[in-house]
Amino acid sequence: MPTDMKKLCALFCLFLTLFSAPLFAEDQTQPFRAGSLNEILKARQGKPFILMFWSLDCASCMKDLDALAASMKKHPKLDLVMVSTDDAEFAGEVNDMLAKHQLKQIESWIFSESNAQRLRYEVDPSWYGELPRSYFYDAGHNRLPVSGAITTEHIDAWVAAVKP
Amino acid sequence: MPNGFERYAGMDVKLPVSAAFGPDRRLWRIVPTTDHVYVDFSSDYGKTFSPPVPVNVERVPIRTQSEYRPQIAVDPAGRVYVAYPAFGLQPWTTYLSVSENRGQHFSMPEPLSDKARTANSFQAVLAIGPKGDLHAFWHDEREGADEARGNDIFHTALDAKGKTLQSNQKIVDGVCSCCRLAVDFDTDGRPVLITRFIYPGNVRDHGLLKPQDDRAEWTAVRATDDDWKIEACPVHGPALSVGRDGRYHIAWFTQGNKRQGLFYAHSDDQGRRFSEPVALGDSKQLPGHPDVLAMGERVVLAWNEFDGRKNRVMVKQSGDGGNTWSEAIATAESDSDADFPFLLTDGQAIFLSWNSQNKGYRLIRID
Repeated sequence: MPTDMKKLCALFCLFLTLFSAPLFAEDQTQPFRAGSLNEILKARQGKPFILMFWSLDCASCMKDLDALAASMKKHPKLDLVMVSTDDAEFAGEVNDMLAKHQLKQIESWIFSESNAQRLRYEVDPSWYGELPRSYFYDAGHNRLPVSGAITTEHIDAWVAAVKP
Repeated sequence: MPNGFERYAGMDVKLPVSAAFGPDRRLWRIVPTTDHVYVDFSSDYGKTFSPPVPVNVERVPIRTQSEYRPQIAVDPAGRVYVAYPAFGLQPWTTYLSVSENRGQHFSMPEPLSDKARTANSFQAVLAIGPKGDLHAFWHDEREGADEARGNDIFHTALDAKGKTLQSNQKIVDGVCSCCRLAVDFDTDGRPVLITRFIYPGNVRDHGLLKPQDDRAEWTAVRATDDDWKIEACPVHGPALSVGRDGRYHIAWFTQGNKRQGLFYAHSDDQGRRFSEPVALGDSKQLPGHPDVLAMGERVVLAWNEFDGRKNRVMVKQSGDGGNTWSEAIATAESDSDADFPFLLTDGQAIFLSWNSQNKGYRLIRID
């Protein structure tokens, strides 16, 4: 085969592999399990990002979605990963909520272990479960935990410091 | 089926089971499942339970969680009152029902709030006063729901015969939006409430509420000063017990600038001033979800700790009204999901009431 056809095939195969991996029925949101945080970190070696835990039931989280969307518009290179702590069966609602707030393109996960307490502990042994809970990871993956809603000013300041 | 739920085979029993002793020393429980709540009782201190009696006939999605608890209270005449949150007329609707025949049948559940059709009502707590009066307090969104401003708390009270004394009275606003309420009664027979408020600067510390007289005016005093600035409801409620001597005992969780973790303090002037907060538990084991119970000179504290694998209920005791304390002792453990620990009394002894996924429901006497 000509080289560029080979490349095309390779790309196509990669595409197929990615999309044949077991995902939820819904496109955007993936199951967050033991080890998922490591996956998320690995995929971002040397890159800063924001990791936010939230829930459909959390009023402050809902308030924050618009602020996050605004920040994403303002900083196109901002890498935001959102993890819902709702029961896995709510993946559809999670997708809908993100879409409603212009966050359809965000990498989204949902808690999918039977024991959420252990999953939280694996993420952070000093996290009591309050939401929203955000972790600001710098390029070296040192992280700063923040409990409560985060503001566009918060994010602006962080972006200025880490320059994603 | 796990311990204490042998009669619930095939039912999807949820963790937050609330319990209360009745005047006949029966232990009454309200047990939530996916779309029903049931009531049962034990006459042998939790070894065996009666067949469950359903409260609601029609299915409704029950919305209990450990922090959004079903309520049960038994008055001196043996009337069993229950309240529980469900996805009903509104996404959050609290229903109230009563049994006038010692738990054999329950009345058709009615919304606690008279505006339940148009506004959420949730985080209800039921408590029986020393005169046998029933008090219900809850978060009510009829006058608006603003996460920044805080929630309104409403109050309904029935006398010992079940006649309405107060109905749907707003008693305070500015309460942190999903905070659980804890209630006890002062030596004058009036209810005292503790919960998290939103103070200036978006500081979420605790406050105490008490009625000024037998009418609707309630006074609020600030009970904790931890300087916890957080733009969220931490969903981690406090505990309160008023001793026979009028001493207020409180336990609470905070991640404030001034202190972080779980704390205890007491007040001898109805909350105007509190003793220096005492830290509870091993800070490396997420100590949380406290309860406190004062009985005579005895004061008992219980809370949960988690080491990444096991949940442990820790218990600490005082024999001198809360001035000095024993070392905390691990009293029960579970390596599965667990509910929060609660302290109950049958008038003579103090018990730990605790439900967990793998070991089921346990009532453990605290000596």
